[in-house]
Parts: sequence; structure tokens; C-alpha cells
Amino acid sequence: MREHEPIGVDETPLDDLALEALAEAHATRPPAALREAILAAVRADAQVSALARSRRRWRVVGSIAAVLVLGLVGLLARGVQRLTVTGAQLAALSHDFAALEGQLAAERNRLVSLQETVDAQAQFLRVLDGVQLRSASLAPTEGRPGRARVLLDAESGEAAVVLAGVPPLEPGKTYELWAIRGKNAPEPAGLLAVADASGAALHVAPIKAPSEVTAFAVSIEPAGGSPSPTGPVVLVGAVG
Amino acid sequence: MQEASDGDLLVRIGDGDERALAALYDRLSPLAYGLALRIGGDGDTADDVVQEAFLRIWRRADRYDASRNTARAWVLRLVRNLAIDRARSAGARSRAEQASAKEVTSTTQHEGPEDAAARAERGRNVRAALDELPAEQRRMIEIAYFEGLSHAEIAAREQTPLGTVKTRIRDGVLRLRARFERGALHA
Repeated sequence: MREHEPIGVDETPLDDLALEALAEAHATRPPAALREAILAAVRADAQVSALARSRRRWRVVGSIAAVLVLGLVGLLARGVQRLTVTGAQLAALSHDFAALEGQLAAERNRLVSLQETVDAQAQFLRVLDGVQLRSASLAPTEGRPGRARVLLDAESGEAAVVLAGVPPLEPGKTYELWAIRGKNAPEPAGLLAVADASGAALHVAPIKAPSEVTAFAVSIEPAGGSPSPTGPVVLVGAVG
Repeated sequence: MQEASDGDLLVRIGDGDERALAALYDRLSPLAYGLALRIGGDGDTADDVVQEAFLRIWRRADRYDASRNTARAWVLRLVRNLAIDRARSAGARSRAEQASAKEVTSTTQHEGPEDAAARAERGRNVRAALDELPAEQRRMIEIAYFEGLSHAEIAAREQTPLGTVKTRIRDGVLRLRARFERGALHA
């Protein structure tokens, strides 16, 4: 890892001493506001990590709930065999079971959605943690709303994309991200889903040869995307 | 109560202790900020670098290996590497060459007057030691540590044999060590 590579001399204690000495020689008081900015960022990071841990706990709770429901259904089924049960009572029990199944399915969908959101955030944070970050601010083309920002980690080849104020599309259409290398044709870099009226989306895409990308763009394409742009470009910006 | 060492603070940060991170920042931010400023050349860049560095310290403190580096050196290496990456991508080399070491005696918000005086004293001692180095040794040390060039890259740029570059840097660092063995670097 880079932090272990020698800087000036091959012996680590000597190397560290030199770096510490040079830092001491240039010691400078930072602005007061920097401390608060750092502590606020750390607090926010701690909250996201706590949410990820909470997601894992919810998955356990969901599993326990599923086991309890199945156990209850099993008990009910055995009870029904022993008793003299009328047709109406059986119908009522079946209805209760269907309602419980429906609630469980809805809860599972909510957990999956939460899991996807936290996974996307964790992926995004991982890109933010990248060593060689470059960024592009994408501005809307004339008459269009919204904006986007792409953070490109040139070392890992991942791009984190944030959209804001971009309207959801009608069914059958999707937003598609394009990576542009100089004068070459735009290359597909993933589909972006804006789910609701907040106009926000988060996406992480792998990018080949990231140091060669000079710009990003977003266009409207048919659902499932397109190998080359066919629809209107809505956002575009150069990599800084 | 004895103050926690830099290494103890890193261990506690690895366990998610935000107050330990604040304590480490209060202790090391003048070194980190000064290093970032010297390499990057301007305050805005130094702000970004130090903020990114401490966020990485927060996320990676559990990777610190006390058998490889001192805690202080681990932090400063992280700051240095980020600052050099940023300077390279911004093409800020000319600004960095113009930045120079300045003595700062005013206190930080969370640094008592005794600590500030001790820090200023250490800074003076180190600057005096650097001033005593032969000019070529000091120059090559600063290129290696502040600009991130390898020995081979320094040799090519300075049109000096590779062996000479290595010797000058090593001799300079050994002189610094000898100087500090006579008077402590860390107060």
C-alpha cells in the first residue's frame, strides 16, 4: 500500500522521522471552521454505518418473523386436523393466512428496497474514499431541469453519479449515462433510475480506462438502454 | 491521568470513538495542515486535503499497524499522499515551490498556550536543523518528501546521478536524526 512505500530513504524509522521533521518545520494553525467540518463529516459517516448495521438487524428480524408465521400456520394446520371444522371456519383461516402472507411479502419488499438504498450509499461512499478522484459537474441542456455530479475514481475505475431535480420518465424510457473519451463515440456507462418526484438518483458504474474520460453526458433512451445515444441529451459536463 | 498516545487514539478511532478523532485532530492538525499547505500551495486545497485525510483516518484507523509506522507518521503519510495527488491533478507545482515555512505562534482553538509555545519551539528547532543541511541535501529531501518524485525521477530532473541523489537524501536525513538525538523532536 502507498502509505508503506519508502519516500526518501528505505528505512521506515528514518523515513518517518524525516517526514515528521518536515511537518514540524511547516506546522501551521488550520482555520477554526475546518475542525467543525471534519467532525460533522465523521458524524454523518457514523450515521450511515449505523444504518447499514440496522439493515442487517432488520434482515434477522424479518427472518425471525417469517419463522414465527410459518410456525403459527403449522400449528393452525394441525389444530384444524384435530377439530371438527366447518367449511366457513376453514375459509376464514385461509383468508387470515393469505393476509399474513401479503404482509410478509410487503415487509420483504421494504427490506429489499432499504437494502438496495444502503448498498448504493455504501458503494457511493467507497468511491468517495478513492485515492485519485476527478469530478464532472453536468449542467442541463437548454430548457431542461436538473443537474448531476460525477465523481470518478481513476484508480478503481468506478464513477459515482448523483442526479438532482431530474424528472422521472414515462414507462418505456430510461436515463442513460455516457462516458466520453476525447473525440471518440460516447460509450454506455449505465442506466439511471429516477424513481419519484424528488428527481434524485444515485448510481455507481464501473468505467474502463477512467483516466482517459474527458466528459460525461446523460440522455433519454428506450427502457433497457441503447448501445449508442439515440435520444435527446439532457445533461453534459467535462471532467475537471 | 496520562494523556493517550497517538497510537491509543487511533485504536479508539478504529472502535468508532468520535472524541478520539477530535483529540487526534487537535493534536496533529497543525502538522497535517502545514504539510498540506506546503505541498499544495493554498489554503483551500489544504482544507480539502486535511478534511479528506481525517475522514480516511476515521474509516481506516483499524488498518493502522503499529509495527510498521509510528501513528503520527501514518497520519502524515496519508496527508502527504493526498496532498501530492491533489497537487499533481491541479498542476500546482509552481505554487508549491513558492510556499515557505512560517512560524505560527498563535494558539489553535483547542491548544493551550504551553502546547502552542512547545510547538513553536519544536518548529524553530527543526527549521534550524534544516537550515544547517548542505543546500543540495535539503533541496533533494524537499523534492522527495513534498513533490513525491522517486529517486530516479529526481535524478532525471536534476540531471544528477541516481547514486548521488540517494546519498544526498540519506545523508541529510541522517544529519537530521543526529541533530534530534541531541535534542528531542517531540517535546
